This record gives sequence, structure tokens and C-alpha cells, in this order.
Amino acid sequence: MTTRWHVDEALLVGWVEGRIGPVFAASVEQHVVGCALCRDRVGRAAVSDPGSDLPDFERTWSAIRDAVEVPRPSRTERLLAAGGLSAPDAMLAAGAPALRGAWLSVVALVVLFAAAASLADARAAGVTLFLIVAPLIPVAGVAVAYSVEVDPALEQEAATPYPKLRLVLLRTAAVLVVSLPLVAAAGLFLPTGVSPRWLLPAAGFTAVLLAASTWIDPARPAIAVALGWVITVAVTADRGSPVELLTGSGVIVYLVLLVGGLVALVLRIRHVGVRRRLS
Amino acid sequence: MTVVDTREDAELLRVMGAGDLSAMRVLYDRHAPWLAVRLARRCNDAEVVADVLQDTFVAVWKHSGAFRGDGDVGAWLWGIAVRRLVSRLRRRRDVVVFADLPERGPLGPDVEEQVLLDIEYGELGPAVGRLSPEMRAVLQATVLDGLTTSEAAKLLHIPQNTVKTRLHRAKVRLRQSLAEGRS
Repeated sequence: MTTRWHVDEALLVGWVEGRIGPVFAASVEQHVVGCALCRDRVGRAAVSDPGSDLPDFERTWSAIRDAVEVPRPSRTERLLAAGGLSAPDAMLAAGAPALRGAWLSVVALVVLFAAAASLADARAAGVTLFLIVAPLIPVAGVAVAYSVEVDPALEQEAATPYPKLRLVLLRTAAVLVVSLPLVAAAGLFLPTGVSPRWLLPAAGFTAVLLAASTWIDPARPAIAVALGWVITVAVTADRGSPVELLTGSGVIVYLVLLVGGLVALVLRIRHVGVRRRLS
Repeated sequence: MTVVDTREDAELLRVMGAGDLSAMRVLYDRHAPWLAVRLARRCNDAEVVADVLQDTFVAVWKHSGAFRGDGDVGAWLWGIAVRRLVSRLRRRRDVVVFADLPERGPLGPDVEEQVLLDIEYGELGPAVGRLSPEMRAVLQATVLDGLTTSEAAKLLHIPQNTVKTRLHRAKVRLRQSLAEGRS
């Protein structure tokens, strides 16, 4: 190290101050890359240069520290952000319980169970089970999307100027996107007449719940809807085939629920607003 | 003065992989100044230089494990920094990349400086000086900064083929100048 060549002071300062031509600058640069001693000298010259065109090193360091210490968004969050959601929207949507592993595995398990049962001898029982479960999955998803009891983080969110309804809608969308394909796939194993039609009660219940969520915590109406549905399906199955629920007057009821729920929801959205307030 | 940290750069990078921010601070103090100077000689906007410096160290923090342990940490850092510069300047056309030769006016008739100037304007100096700024920029980006033709093209906002042609012409011109100088 002692016998090594080093950049002389005038040249070094000239480079730091941008006063030397390209050939010499290149020579200094090639040397500095590998020479710790001259790097230190550059550091001292750069800091002591008064009319410097160099950045403020302390300020840049704090910017680096801030960037590095911010927790990285989760994979779901980055995926949602890539899909076009703004960063805060992505964060809140990703916080939806429906996007957590536990929810997904429960949905998958229930659906598999129903599908398996429908394949086995107990075909009727399988269909009943599927009919009970499938429309309630989005209902449960909406219920947990904005229930303080399920998501303690909501207590904080409730205190922020973020419209509650926007959060519910975002998370409902997340629930549907995640759950529906799974349930629909399981529905393919069922006899026709069940498979696409279960979407009708599902849509009706979801719309009503969303509308209800603009007034109250959606968990309670969700429980009511679920109880009512389970009893209805069970009673119909006892009398004959539960598939009858998906035909005739049943369809009209779901459509009324769907349209009524959507109209109420739209009116409420106009009233309370879903736009994120600035500040 | 603070106590000098004697750990090698590669050692610092390894500790950073485990989440030690103070190790990066040491690395930053060692390398940020020369990186900033070198970037500032390629881009006349101090804001952009600060951003690139920040990008560089954020990238280093995330990928400190990517340093393979062969070669200089300094060279590795510059490789990251110059590529960050390329991507930062991609959409900026208002920034002058690669400044012209400096004015000779402000330099005093200092003996030491005169010696430097003699070397600077010796054989290779004037030869490079006679190249057009466009050719010098290409030469600097590819030969001295080690960018690929496609990276140099992005940095200078010109097509890749133009980079290749200019580089070729620059070499021919330099060879001619040097030959003339000798004869």
C-alpha cells in the first residue's frame, strides 16, 4: 500500500470541483474505484468544497434511512397495487380478513367438503350442503370485511379520514375475487340447475348486506341472513329437494333483494360518499 | 473525528444483509462522496445526483447479498449507481449528461496546475478534446463507465445504432489524431 501511486492533491480537488477534462477525470475515477485512501481524500475534499454542486450528504442519508426503514408492503399489497389500486387502498384491501390464509383455507375446506359429499352416494345431502354453504361465503366475507370484532385494526382505521363504505366495498371486492372462483369450481361437480344458480341468492344477500353496512356493523345482519338461509334450506330439503329454492318464486325474491340492496347502496353512496378525502 | 471503523467493505455488506443499518452508514460515509462526485461529472443536476445516490444505497441495502465477494466493492457500487443514473435520466431530456471540457480561464498560472494541464493537453488530451461532444459522451459512457450499448443509448437518449456508429467513428478519429501527433 505504501508504495502505491495516489492521485495528487491538485488533481483530486480539480476532479471534485469539476475543473479537469475528461481524460484526467477518467484517470482519477479509475483509481478512486479501487483506492480507499484516495476515496477518503475525495470525501474530505467534497465536504470542504464551499461552492459545491454535490448533494447534501446528511440529507441524502436520512432519505436513504427513511426509505429503508419503511416496512415493505406485503405481497398481496404489491399485487393489488400493480392491479391499479392506490397505495392506501391496496393496504386496506390487503388487510381484509378474506385475503388472509385462514379465511382462504376455511373456504377451500368447506367447498371441498361439499363437493366431495355431492360426489358420494349421499348426492342429495351433498347438494343441500353446497346450497347452504355457497351463497353464505360472500356473506361471511362481507361480514368480516368491516367488523371491529374481527379486525382490531379497524379501530384505528375508524379514526382516520377514510370513508368506511369505500373500505367495505374494497374488501367485498377482495372477498368476491378470492372466494368465488373456488366456490364456482366446486359447483361444477354439482348437477346442472344448481351450479350457476346459487349465484342468485349469493348476489342478493351480498347486496342487502352491503346496503346494511352503511348503517350498522355488517356482522349482525350477516348472522341473521345466514340463520334464515340455513333454516330455509333445511326445511325445503326436508320437504323435498332444496333445488326448488333456486327456481320460481325463489328467483324473484333474490332479484328483489339484489335490486333493492343495490338501489339502497347507490343512494347511500351518494349520501355518505366513497371518495377519499384529501389531507 | 469519530472512531474509524476498520471493517472491510465486503464485511460491512455481509452485516447489512442481517439488517445492520449502522454498517451501511459506514459504507455510505466511505463511498457516497466519490460516487456523488463521479455522478455529478455526468449529470449537471444536483437533485438528480442526490436521487441517484439515494436509489443506489437503497438498492445496496436490499441486495447486499448480491455482492459476490470478488473484485472491489467500489466497482460494484459504481455499477449500481451508473445504472440507476441511466434509469433516472430515461425520461429526462433537460439534464445535460456529460459536461463539456472545462473552461481554462479560472485556473491560475500555478506551476502544479500547469503540469497537470500539460498532461491533460498532451497527446490523448487534445485528441479527445477535438472530438465532438456527442462522440465524447458515447466514448465516456461505453469505454470509461462500462455501460452496454443499450444502456448508453438510454442514458444519452439516442438509438443504439447511433451509439455504435459514434463509438466507431470516435475510435477512428482518435487513432487518426494520435497518428498525426506522432508524425
